[in-house]
Order: sequence, then C-alpha cells, then structure tokens
Amino acid sequence: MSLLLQLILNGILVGAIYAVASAGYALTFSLNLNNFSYGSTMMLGGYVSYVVLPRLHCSVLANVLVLVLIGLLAGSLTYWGAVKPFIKTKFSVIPATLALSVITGNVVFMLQGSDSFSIRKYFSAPKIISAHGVVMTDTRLCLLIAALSIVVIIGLILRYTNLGLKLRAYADDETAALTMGISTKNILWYSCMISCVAGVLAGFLIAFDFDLEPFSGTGLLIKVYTATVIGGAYYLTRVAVAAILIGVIENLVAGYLASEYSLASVFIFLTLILLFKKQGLGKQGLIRAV
Amino acid sequence: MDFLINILELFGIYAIVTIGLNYQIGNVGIMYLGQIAYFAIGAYASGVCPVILKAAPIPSMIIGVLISLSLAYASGKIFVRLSGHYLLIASLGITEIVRSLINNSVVTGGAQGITITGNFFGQNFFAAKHEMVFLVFACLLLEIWFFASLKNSPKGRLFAALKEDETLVRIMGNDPIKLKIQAMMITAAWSSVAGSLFAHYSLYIDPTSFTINESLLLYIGILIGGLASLKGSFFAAFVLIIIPVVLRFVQLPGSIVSAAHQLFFAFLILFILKFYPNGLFSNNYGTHTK
Repeated sequence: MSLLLQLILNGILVGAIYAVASAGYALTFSLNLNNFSYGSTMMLGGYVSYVVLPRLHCSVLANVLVLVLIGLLAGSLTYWGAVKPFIKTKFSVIPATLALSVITGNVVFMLQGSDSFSIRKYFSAPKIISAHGVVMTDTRLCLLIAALSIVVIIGLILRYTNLGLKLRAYADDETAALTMGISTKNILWYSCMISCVAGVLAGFLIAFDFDLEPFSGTGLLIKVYTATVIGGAYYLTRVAVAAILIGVIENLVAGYLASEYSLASVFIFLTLILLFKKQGLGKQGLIRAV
Repeated sequence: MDFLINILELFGIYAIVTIGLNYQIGNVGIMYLGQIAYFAIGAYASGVCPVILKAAPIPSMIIGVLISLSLAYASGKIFVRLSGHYLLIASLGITEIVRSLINNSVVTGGAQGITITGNFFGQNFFAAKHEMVFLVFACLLLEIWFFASLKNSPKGRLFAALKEDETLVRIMGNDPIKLKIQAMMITAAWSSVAGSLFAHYSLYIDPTSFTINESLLLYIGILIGGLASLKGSFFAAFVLIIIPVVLRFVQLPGSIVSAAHQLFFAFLILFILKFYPNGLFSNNYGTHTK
C-alpha cells in the first residue's frame, strides 16, 4: 500500500513538472504551431542551470532570471529561425523545428559530451520527511510548489493580461481576431517566447531531480506533446491534469512492471483516451479555464 | 566494391520504405508514421521465425507481412478517425509500443538483439551478400511498378480523391474509413518486406534501429524530397543513407564527428525547406501551401 502511495506521490511530482512544460507547449499548440524543438529547449534549460548555477553561487533566484532571459532568447530564435520562414507551407514547420532541435542537441553535445548532467550535486542533501511509510524530501516539496505556481502564473497571464487576451482571441479564430483590430503580426513570436520560458523553467525543475543528457529532448517532447493532445490544448487546467496523470501512470508502470514500458504505457493511455474522445479531453462544454 | 554494394543495398531497402510512406502521405494524405513499427516487425519475423518455427526465409517474410497487415488493420480501425496532429502522435505511439515490446520480450532477444540465421540463397552460401543487391532491387522495382499501376487503377484514383475531398468520396458511395485502412495496410506490407530485407542485409538486429527518431527522420526525408513524387522518395533514401557515408570521408576530429554530421543534416533540412518549401522534387501535385 505504501509503495502504491509512494509511486503516486512521485508521479504527481514528475507530472507537475510535465504540467509546466505542457502548459508552455499548449500555448503554441493552440495557435496551430507545432514546436518540435521544445524538448531540446527544456534540455537547454537544464544544461544552462548546470553551467550557470555554480558561477552564481547556487542562487536559485538569479538562475531563474538567467533562465527567463535564455527562454526569451530561445523563443525568439525558434520563431525567427524555424517558424517564421516556414509558416507559409503547411508541413514545413515540424521538420524545421525538428532540425532546430537536432542543432540544439548537438551544440550541447559538443560542449558537454554524452555525459548526463544534473544539478542535484550543487545542493546539500535534502531533508527527508516521512509519514505513513511514504517518503518525501523538502527539495521535492519545493519543486512541486514551484511547478504548480508556474502553471498558475501562466494561467494568470493568459486570463488577465492584454497579451493573454490577444492570444486567446487568436487561438479561437484568427480572422475574427484580425477583424476586431487585434494585431496578429507578432502574436506567434510572443507565444513562442512565453512557451520557451516555461520550457526552460521546466527543464531546470527536471534537472533538480533527474539526469538529463544532450539528446533527452525527444523523450521529453513526446510526453509533453501527449499531455497537450490529451488535455486538448485549449484548457490549461485539463492539460495540467493530463500531464499529472501521465506522470502518475509512468511511475506506476515503472514501479510495478518495468521502466522500459513507461513511454509505451503513456501511449496506451493516449490510445484509450482517443478511442473514446477523439479530440482529447478538450473542447466539450465547461467554461474555459485558460 | 563490397562497400559500394552494401550502401546500394541499404539505399534500396530505405527506398522501399520511403516510397510506401510517400504514397501514403503524399497521394492518400494520411499522416501516419507507423512505418518503422512494421519495418521492425518484418525484420524480427525474419530473425525469429527461422529459430522458433524452423521456417525458411521467404515464409518468414510472409509471416512478417501478415502480422504487419493485421496490426495495420487493428491500428487503422482505432486511429483512422483521427486526423492531423492526433494521428501523428498516435502513430509514433505504435512505433514506441512495438519497440518496447521487442525490447522486453525473451523471444526477440531483448536489448541484446538477435542474429539472423539462414539466407535467401541457401544455408551455406557465404557470397550471398552480392545476391542481396539483386533481391533488394527486384523488390524495389516490383514496388515501383505496384504503386505506378495502383495510381492509375480505380482504387488509386479513389485514394487520390480521398486526399482532396473526403466528403466527395463518401458521396460517390465509397467508405473513406475503409479506403484509409486499405492504404495503411498496403504501405505496412511494403515496410514489412523492407524490414525483412534489412534483417538479411545486416544479419544482426536490435531494437535501437527502430525508434521514434527513425520515423521522424523518414518523415523529414520525404518532406524535403517532395510529397507524391518518386524522385522525392529516392532523394529521401539518398539523404538518409548516402550522405552520412559521404560525410564519413571528410576527415573530422573523432569527438565531434557524429555531431558535425547531424548539424550538417539539420542545416540541409532548413536550407531545402527555405528554398524548396514543397520539397526538392515536388511535382506540384496538390501544392501544400495554405
């Protein structure tokens, strides 16, 4: 019983980090833009933290500031390098962003080699909190809170700012947004930037707890993409719930079967959802939470 | 000479897959990337059947095709109602599920892979490598003839119509769902044949050859080659097989050699997509601009 609880708890933690990433991905996905370099952007977030943190004397706040800058930069690079030149052709954005992903992965590979990296070692050993046979560390608790608050912040940006309103209008109906006098010229750029900031922050959170390597982008992307598809992209809360579910399922499968099946189990979950709701969980009834 | 023949064989095998995939995406308009799963099934059928069923190579190949056909039918039944992104992610899921099943099953040798016993030209025919090239190109020619005649057959015209307008096909009294499943099954069969040939070509197979990355590479290959074009399919196989070989002759320091190859590939993709948005050899049949 305590194993089950422990696995679910771990799953919720991982899922919350996926939720941050998926919330960012859903931003561009709902604008009909598939940014396949997103996984590498997440990995980049982890790598930058790995390089920068010791030089900042492990100040997390300063690192977050650096990461936000990197995220804005990565978003702009994605938009101007791999989205804008190719957006006119229907099928071109996916290969272009994949190419960008390959470039990011290999540049980090040249700098770092194939070794995995994690920022766990920069911090002192975490304090262990245990109750009813379920173990939790204080780092993980902080991660969970941080992840959930980033999701909430993205939600607030979408709900209450002018930019968020524009984004939602554009996602709803591009032409209608144009006719209502919303300048849609740079909307994709802004959404890319916000999404990439969420991506690098998610990468930073992942690097706290797991080992990353230069090519772990694809695996991350697949999970984030699946969560976004299951959540239906238009509803941030549903995307977050889907991401947490994916984290839990992954952990349960890894705990009771074998960790190799975890990605496959995510896909089987996706298949089951798509069998009954072919639009994922999105777009039916309820008030939009975004 | 041996080296050249090896490369030609691999080129032929990949061309068999890309032609099928290109027909399915370019001519029928189904964004289904499960080909690598069938490729893996074909390869493993050729590897496993001679061991456990004592089957000869040709019957093993046919068993592989039959398994692929049934998997294509089943997954088609489930996924055919999806479209666009949903179908894409679901098809990547099939690839991953098949790969992790192979990776964890005892019969297939798990992660260690399996050595292929027996070849098409008798048990102890050591020079069989050179005969492989004829076999591969015979299959390739057969496939080209098959798809060329399919294109001009009533069924082929229905497939082409399906890409343009699904409702129209329905009005004409045909079931689009059934047609889509048939198209998926046709390409699955050819991918499986290519997989069997690949197994006999490399004489040793392991699950690392059948990952999601491979699927995405094939997809990028046909996109930059040109959809619905034979030359485009050949170009895809050329890019994926020949260019890495050519780059091997460029002397680079050992540590960055693989990264440099991938970077070259990524920039090539971006370049081609920028200047030939519909692919290098697009015949402008159904242009893909929005």
